[in-house]
Amino acid sequence: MAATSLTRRKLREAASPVLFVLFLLLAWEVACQTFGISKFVAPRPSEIVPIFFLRWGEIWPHTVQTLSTTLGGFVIGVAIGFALGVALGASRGLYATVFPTLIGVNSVPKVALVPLLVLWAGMGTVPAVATSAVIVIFPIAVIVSASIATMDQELADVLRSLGANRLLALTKVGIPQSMPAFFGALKIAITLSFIGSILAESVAANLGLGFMMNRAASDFDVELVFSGLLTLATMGVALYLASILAERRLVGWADRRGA
Amino acid sequence: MPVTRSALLRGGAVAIALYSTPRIAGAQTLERIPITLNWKFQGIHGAFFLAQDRGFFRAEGLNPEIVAGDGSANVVNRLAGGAFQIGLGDVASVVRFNTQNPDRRVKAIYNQTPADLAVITLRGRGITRPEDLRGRTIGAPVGDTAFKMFPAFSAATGIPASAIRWEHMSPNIREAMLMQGQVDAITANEGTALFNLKGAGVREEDMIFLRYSDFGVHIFNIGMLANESFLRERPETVRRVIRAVNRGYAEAIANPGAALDSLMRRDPLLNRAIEAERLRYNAERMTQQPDARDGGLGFYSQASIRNSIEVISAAEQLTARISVDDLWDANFLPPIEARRVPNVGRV
Repeated sequence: MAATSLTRRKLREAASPVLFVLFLLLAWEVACQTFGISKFVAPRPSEIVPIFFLRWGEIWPHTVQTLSTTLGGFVIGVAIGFALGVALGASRGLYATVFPTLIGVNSVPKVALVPLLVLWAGMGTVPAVATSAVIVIFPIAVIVSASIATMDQELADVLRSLGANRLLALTKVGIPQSMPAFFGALKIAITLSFIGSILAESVAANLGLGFMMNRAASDFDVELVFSGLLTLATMGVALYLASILAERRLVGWADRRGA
Repeated sequence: MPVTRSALLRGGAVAIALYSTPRIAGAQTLERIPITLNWKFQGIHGAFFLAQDRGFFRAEGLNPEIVAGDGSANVVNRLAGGAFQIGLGDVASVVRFNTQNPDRRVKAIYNQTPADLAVITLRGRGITRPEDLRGRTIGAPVGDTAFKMFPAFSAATGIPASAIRWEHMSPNIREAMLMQGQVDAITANEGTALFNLKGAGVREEDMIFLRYSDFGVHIFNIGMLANESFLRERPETVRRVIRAVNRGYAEAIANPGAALDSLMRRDPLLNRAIEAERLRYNAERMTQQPDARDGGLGFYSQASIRNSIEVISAAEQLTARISVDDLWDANFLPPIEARRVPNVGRV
């Protein structure tokens, strides 16, 4: 009895976001119909969804390209951001020296950076991966460093009295303690990462959803533009879910909601 | 006198009243009309701003809001979306749009300049004629008219598009990629690339232009466009806009210095010398085109429209053919006396 109500609750929890999306699509459809909104402002879902079936062969290669450049950039960006965050969090001197520069670099709009990356690194995959990486480094580094720098003073004292050196304190307490914050940052980073690769693809590429949407827009192919947007949104959600799964496995101990 | 909050408020209220009085008075009599341009403010757009500064719009009872564009072909999107009803844009892109959307057509109502499409390269790249393009890399923005019309260039020169390696990029880095050598050539409007390259320090004698027109490919390009629904609902407003714009063009051609002054006032960061050249280039193309010689400023002949529709529809592989009347509406042109072709003045 208790078991069935539990599964039912779980089922409802799993179904509710899907139902919500369906509700939104329906509201969109109805709004377009009732207000007579032109498809050049927003095509109706019933005009967009069939595109996935009719023109999947056209959309697929662009999807694969965007997914791989995004993931590539994401992995590189997270690795660099994490290493940087640990270094900055562990060393007060390094933090004071490097952090202002990091903020300065991050303040450069990525829209302005992409054309430069293209001129330095050529077209296509390389600038897309690079932009997606660059856009991710900062949030990861900031959050990881803040979390490590604010390690419990008492805990640090205890460790020192037990004879631990700084490196040991960092690896045994500092880094594990920063993990929940790190995964929080990861969820932000994965969506940012898509922005980076799409941006680069729309500046200089022959493949990728950014390119596909550009070309479709220049042909007034509004349905294809929106199907590109929906594909992106879907991939974003999928990767977000993947990072939640990883979080549960690795730092489930930190979740206090008792799920 | 101590500065109190109420004193500040009173002072502010007076300032606002003083500032806004003439505007309110103006707003009662002038009709507001947003107009989109095809690209960021440059050269020939001085005509619009001169018309504003000289009061040509005000004389027509209009208060125009002139907005920079983000690509001539995108003007059709801006019109179709309803954000604008009238603007300066790429007439060539209308052919596809009207073929696919017969129920919400966009119409050309005033001709500015014909297309100056070209494949452009630099001396030393080993390209001097179309045959040299085989196996080379050409950089082309996907929305670029010269890229879209390459099939017409192919048909005229016998160089198929498949013999070329295409690299796509956004228009703002196209010339830089050519200069840097990441591509061997680019597709562009000659006037756009010429002055972009000049502005970047390339000498004109080092540029090589394979002009589509030299191989018999002639199509229309920039003109005033409006939604067909708007033409139907507010024909008088459209006539007044076109009258003011036409006066602006005539005045800017005859007196480019004044047009540049108006342009520079809108965007002081522009390079005046380059914009002067751009303006002169377009003024010459506008006045020397056969349609203008035959029918005055703003005029399209039936023959040139029909030919453009045919060339564009074939290049874009459109299955249906729209008629001349589906694209061009001559009812909004001012009388011929107002459209006499002026001599191009000195800056």
